Amino acid sequence: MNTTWVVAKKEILDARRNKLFIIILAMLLLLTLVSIVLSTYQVRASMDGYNQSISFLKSLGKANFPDPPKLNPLAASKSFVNYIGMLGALLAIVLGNYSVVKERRNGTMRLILSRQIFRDRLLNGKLLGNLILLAAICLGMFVVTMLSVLLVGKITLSGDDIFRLLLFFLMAFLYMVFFLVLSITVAVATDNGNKALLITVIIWLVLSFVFPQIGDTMDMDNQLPGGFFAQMGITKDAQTQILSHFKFYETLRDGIEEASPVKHFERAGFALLNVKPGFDTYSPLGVVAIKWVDLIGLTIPSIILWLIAYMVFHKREDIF
Amino acid sequence: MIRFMKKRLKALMVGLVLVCTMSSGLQALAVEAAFPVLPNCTMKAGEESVAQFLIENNDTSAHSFNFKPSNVPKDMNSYFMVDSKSAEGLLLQASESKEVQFHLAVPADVAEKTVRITIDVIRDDGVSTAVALSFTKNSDYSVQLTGTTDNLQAVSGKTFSFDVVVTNTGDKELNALVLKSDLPYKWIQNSVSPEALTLKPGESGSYRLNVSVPISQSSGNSTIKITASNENVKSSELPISIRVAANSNFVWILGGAALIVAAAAFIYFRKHSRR
Repeated sequence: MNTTWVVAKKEILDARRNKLFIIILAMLLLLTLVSIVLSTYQVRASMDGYNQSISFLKSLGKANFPDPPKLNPLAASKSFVNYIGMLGALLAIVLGNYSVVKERRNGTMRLILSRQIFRDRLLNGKLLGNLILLAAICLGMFVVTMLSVLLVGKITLSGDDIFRLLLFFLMAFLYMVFFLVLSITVAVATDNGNKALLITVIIWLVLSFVFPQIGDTMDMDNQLPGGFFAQMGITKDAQTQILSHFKFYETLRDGIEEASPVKHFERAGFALLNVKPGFDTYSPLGVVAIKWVDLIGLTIPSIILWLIAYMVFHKREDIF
Repeated sequence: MIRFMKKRLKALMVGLVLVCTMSSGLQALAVEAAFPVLPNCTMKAGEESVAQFLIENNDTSAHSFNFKPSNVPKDMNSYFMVDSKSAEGLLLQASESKEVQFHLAVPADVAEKTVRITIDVIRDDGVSTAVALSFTKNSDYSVQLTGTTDNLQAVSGKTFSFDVVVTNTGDKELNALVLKSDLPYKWIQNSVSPEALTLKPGESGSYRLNVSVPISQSSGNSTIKITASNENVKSSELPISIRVAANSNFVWILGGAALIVAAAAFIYFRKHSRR
């Protein structure tokens, strides 16, 4: 454990020297801050508009007031889902790739492995260090969100809202961990650092953009703008009859979507942030209980990849 | 009482003619009477009844008039319309008259058989008069739908069944009563049993619906809207909330893959030992 911790600490210190990591992190934090401030201003403007209407009605001597607008302060984090989906994944890929490639470029891998250190411990140390970095980034964004909503939007979040936000950032963390592990695995399996980065980015593009796009494109009702059935004037009963003949097709389409970690992150994230309607009546843990498949969908692939990384790294002799 | 009201109305110089209609387009029940009038308007559960009255300013100067309804049951909403716009009053020039509509939204589960509402017409100088309206429930044909369970659960990619109870709450027999369901996109209604029911007054029957949830349905809450209808009556919409759980096939596949890789890793390290 001591060896693992030493390697982990070195990973954290080394990340400061990775310019690409610093640039992506700065972009992510900047986008996060801008989007939260804009969203919280929107929430505040809606509340101000409502309060002005109430004051006006009171001045007219009215006693019946309209209900306050249903504002969701957590929706301020809605843009996160997209930013973390893109920049968060890239950040994790860069971290994972750098953690292996730097040792190879500096010639330190051979030196480290000539010492009394097991290969699996070295990998564990690299993973642990990068996990701590990703966790710190997620925690930082959580604090920034809380403070922005409170200070800019002047909205006090309830205990449930804070817990929902925390669980959302846990999901974001698991999503980034998947790409971190993927990047380390590919870097370990490939003999060239640039090639490894390119392969990882291609896999990321396929998983994050191609698969969800295939899923959307394969949806029969997305074939024409405005909906295929609506454009063709097909009644609801006829739609039902048509759809009953496409069960296998639908299963295939869904399977492709399920293979995308972005889909799992989006589904769980939107439910936790109340962006998708129907989840506001559930407790934060209730939402997680409903979305447990998405939690598993983000976790198990990382474990599988990590076991593969162990095996590949254990037998490779030619990459150092 | 009528004489007293007549005197007050003459003093107000306001002319009132009342007509009742049903917003659903049913034939209007017309009542035309001397002041004041107590027309027997008909109301139907889940629909909106409209009483129309004419206000005429017989004075030589312009006046504004405000309307204030009272005795409106708490579960009913009411409002006035003048010139197709919602209004709480109107301004009339000398000798001008305008039609005012009183709308009463009747809930689907209305319990009252008769509702008596008083509308105070108050002129800007404080003089007022009251008009009494009576709405009687038309209960020849009436039907009520109820779900049998509050916590319906389904799994994406699988079928599920549920029951809906339909009760004839009207005074006449209901023939060929069929169920109509409005399902979320891609959901399929496999069957409804029986296809139609005939119910005597006060009698209840139940339908069993079998529905397929598409595999692509993400977990969460979905709603099915059910109505029962025949040529004479249509029930109010019964929303049935269903909690859809994710299909675990994906988890089994992932779990299986994880087990295979874990076993392979275990065997690999046993064979080649730790380095």
